[in-house]
Amino acid sequence: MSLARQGSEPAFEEIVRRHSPRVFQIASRFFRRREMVEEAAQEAFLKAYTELSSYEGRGSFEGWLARLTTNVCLNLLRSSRRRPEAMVADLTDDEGEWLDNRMAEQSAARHRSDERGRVAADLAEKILRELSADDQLVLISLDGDDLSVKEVAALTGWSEANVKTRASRARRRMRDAVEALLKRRK
Amino acid sequence: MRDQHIIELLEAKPTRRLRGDEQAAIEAHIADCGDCRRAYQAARLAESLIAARAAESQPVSPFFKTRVMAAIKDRRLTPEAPAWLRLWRAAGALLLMMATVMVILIGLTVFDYPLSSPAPEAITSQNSYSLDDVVLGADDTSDDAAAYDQVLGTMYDAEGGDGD
Repeated sequence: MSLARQGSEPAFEEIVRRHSPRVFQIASRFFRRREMVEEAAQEAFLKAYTELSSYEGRGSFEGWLARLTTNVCLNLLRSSRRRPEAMVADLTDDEGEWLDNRMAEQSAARHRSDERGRVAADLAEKILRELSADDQLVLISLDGDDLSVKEVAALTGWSEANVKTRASRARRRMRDAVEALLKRRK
Repeated sequence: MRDQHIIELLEAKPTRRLRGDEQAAIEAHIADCGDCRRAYQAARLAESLIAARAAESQPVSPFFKTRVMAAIKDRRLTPEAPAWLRLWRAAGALLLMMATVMVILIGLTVFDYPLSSPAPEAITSQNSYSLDDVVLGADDTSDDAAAYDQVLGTMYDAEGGDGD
């Protein structure tokens, strides 16, 4: 670590090799497309390289890097949200069919083993895109990855109370979006 | 009309984390309440979608490390100095500037003062006459007048000499 701080590229290369899986995992919460995940991960490592000196060694390096990656991804996602994207109303046939079937089943366990999980992820992405970057982060982290409120607070720098408030609001918005979608299907 | 208690439960946590009594209360309520039933179904559906989205994770590409190191070289990035060092450097620059100003001021005071306003002793030594001479200088007109008289007398004598 001290070598990397002094600008040793081989030392930083080792950091990249060791921590890439975790950084990719975090970036995948925000982005689906491979090139976007890679871009976000790269930006996170470049920021880590220039700001290594701000890591004071108090907490774990993994925690510091995870928080930095989360902030980089949030900023990238916020800027990408300003660009026009496909709207949730533009459902593909597969997505519409998935919704209808899912309403009939109502079983998350069965869905997870479903080979059509990609269709569900496509649909989720469309709905999540209509929410804010912060909403997406809390929903995927808390309800998708099963992180605790405390873990999300550590990742984002928000207070635990703030995480709970945001999560509650995000769940309401997500639920409202799904309800609106179901009404349109009828 | 939706039951606020049910809605709060749905927003407080994912339905799979509801306690047994909470789950039972919801199921009892939605049996008769269409609005809450739709909200509950939508919440379950939303959770399934989020779970499907969260299950996706991109693996690290084999050339990622090379790409990052190339980007560091391309952008000519260097690690920032620690905060205390940056502060020290900034303070050092300020101190250097202050020291320079002090040296200039001292230099002006010590070396430039005699030229701009010489001391009385220096004035007298430069002009080779004393302060008394300056004060008594009013009588100098008599000396000047004598000198003029002497010149005029010499000229007159010369002219008179020629005339004789």
